[in-house]
Amino acid sequence: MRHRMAAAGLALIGLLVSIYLLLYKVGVVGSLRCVGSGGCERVNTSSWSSFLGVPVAAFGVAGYLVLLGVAMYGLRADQLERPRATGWLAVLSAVGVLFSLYLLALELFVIHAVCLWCTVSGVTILAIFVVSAAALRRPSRAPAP
Amino acid sequence: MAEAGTTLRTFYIVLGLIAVIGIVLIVRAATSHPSAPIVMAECSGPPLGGPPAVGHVLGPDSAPVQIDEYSDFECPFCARFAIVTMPDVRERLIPTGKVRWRFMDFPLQGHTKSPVAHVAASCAADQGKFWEMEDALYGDQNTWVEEKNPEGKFLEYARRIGVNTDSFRVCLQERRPWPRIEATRCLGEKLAVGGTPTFFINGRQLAEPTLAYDDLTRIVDSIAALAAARTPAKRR
Repeated sequence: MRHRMAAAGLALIGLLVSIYLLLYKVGVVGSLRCVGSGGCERVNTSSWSSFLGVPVAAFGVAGYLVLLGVAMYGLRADQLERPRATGWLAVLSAVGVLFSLYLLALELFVIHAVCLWCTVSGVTILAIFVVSAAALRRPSRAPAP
Repeated sequence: MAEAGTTLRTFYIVLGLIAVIGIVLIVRAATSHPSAPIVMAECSGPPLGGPPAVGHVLGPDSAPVQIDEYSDFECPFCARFAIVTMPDVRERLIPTGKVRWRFMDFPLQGHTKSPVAHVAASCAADQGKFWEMEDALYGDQNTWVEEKNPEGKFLEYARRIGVNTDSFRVCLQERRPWPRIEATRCLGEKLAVGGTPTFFINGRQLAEPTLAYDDLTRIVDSIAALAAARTPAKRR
């Protein structure tokens, strides 16, 4: 149960970060709060900040919403003993980790700037994967009645 | 089971708190440091003591020909002139010393991204990089015009052309050069500038707004020759 709680909390943090980045991309947030000399803005205004014509941050919002939904579903009383939700969390977050690695490679080798908020999102998705994969190896037990 | 229920309840409270704090932070980010809005003033009576309409200058003050170019950064004809003709002006015409060229800000009504682009160019000008920013803005016009928030693009250009981005960012967000731009725009309105680009050669508006380099040099050479002919006559 605790790993699903952790996954839900992390997914919520990732969702909030993605919403912030998406609002910047669509012009609602005027400038990003970022450490360093504008790496966040450089990354988020580059041509790589959209994927298939959709802002990358929108994929983040959608992905974290799904992860949050799966984690919350897994916390239902009838799902606590079943490993399916944890499996889905592991699979979906693995896809997210791969996508984050692709974005990190773009930042380091193509855009030559690192975006703090994108890194926070990358670490978050990695943490969800680690938590879920660890729980899959050691299935959680429902509390004793 | 009761323990699990308590744990879940605590978890939902913590989750709710994270959501509320996150939403508050995002709303604050969206509203607490907005870039100052740009409002185009009526030009019927420019405020006394306002900044002068100086434009951005290339060439010596002593040049016999002064060309004022009223231009809008969102205007595609201006972009074409900047990309096709202006490099020749800068590389071939200005070095002759015959021309003093002034870029005059003239953001058009209805071009919603243009005012902030002019502010960006003037912020770069404050660091001696106006012409580099002009190149970037016109060269990449199709891109930033499509952006909902083009200021990030302007920061990118500033970085690329070697402008100090920290002071540029502050200048851009506070719209510091806007009064100068307004003064120039209002001067243009007084001179009946109706569209862009509009050129004034020694104060006379040119009927042909799409100015080719060869036509330009012909006009400049004839005025410069006249000026040269008059100067020795005065000495006699």
